[in-house]
Amino acid sequence: MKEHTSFTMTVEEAVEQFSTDVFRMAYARTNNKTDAEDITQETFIKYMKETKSFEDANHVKAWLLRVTINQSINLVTSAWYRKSTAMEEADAIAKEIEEKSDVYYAVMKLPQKYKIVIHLYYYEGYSVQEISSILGIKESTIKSQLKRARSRLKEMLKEDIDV
Amino acid sequence: MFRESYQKDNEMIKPDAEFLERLKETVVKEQEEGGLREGKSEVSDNTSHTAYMYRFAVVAACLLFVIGVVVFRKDIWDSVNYKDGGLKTKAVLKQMNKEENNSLEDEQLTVLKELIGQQVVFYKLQSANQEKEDGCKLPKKEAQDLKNDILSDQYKIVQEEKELKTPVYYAVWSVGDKEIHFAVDGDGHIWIQ
Repeated sequence: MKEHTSFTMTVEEAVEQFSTDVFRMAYARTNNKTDAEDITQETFIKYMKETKSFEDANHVKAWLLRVTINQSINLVTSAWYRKSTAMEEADAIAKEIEEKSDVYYAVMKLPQKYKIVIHLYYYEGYSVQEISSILGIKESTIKSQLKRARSRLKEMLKEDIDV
Repeated sequence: MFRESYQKDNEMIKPDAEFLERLKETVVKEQEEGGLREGKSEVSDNTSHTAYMYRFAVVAACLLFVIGVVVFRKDIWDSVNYKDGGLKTKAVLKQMNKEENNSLEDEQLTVLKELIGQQVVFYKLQSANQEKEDGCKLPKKEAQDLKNDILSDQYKIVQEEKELKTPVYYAVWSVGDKEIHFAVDGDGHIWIQ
């Protein structure tokens, strides 16, 4: 019989451990520092108000990333955001990523759904199964999104990079 | 190679120390103002439970109300009829019938049933032309049996113009300022005049 253990992590501890990961996820999604900060803050406030019990720290992290993605989807798809960031985005991206590699620049140019799976797979190191669980999407869909994203990245990078 | 490169780029992205301080302050402040999570606090669980129970109670109340209306007030739906292109209840129809010189057309049997239990006195007749004064008032039990038969659809209302051939019973009752006469024949018909 599986023993149920209750895991406890205060919101301060969660901020301490996962704020950078949450911020990076939000940033990968929005390409905008201010928006990423807003999403990060909202995510931890949601965590504070969330009453479900978590199994361990990894479970907390996965939950936080899921909320971050949802929050950023809400923001990115809002009419206000679409109007207000169209012009700012190009400048912001150029400014922020100028010291980063072509790889990062290429990922930023991917469609949003591909950016998420690439980030979770290559940066967070989650497996396809874990990404499927976090996003609530079928594994086969995740696999095909990864495949298409890789294909686009190869095309953009125009070299035999091992994606 | 891609993974390493992408991870290296991401390592450069960090929230400002100032932002993190602000974030910590914000969550602490939110917690003090009624936020829920401090570890897994009792307050959190109780609040959630209460909110859940409240939602459940509201949904259950709504559900019970709907079931109550549908089951116990079925007569409301049964009494709704279409007439002249609009929805009218039988109460409205009865009122209309009164206004139309008591010509009971559509709801004759229903109205008859409603009234028969209260006001009607039955007389037993000997011939078609016999007036009620000549009839013999039915004994209480026999009258009750006849009423029950009418209430349980043993009889059928027929056109008032037709000749009453085999009258058995006769009755009269008041509707508004007029009297309605009806007779019951041996063939299971109710004649309204």
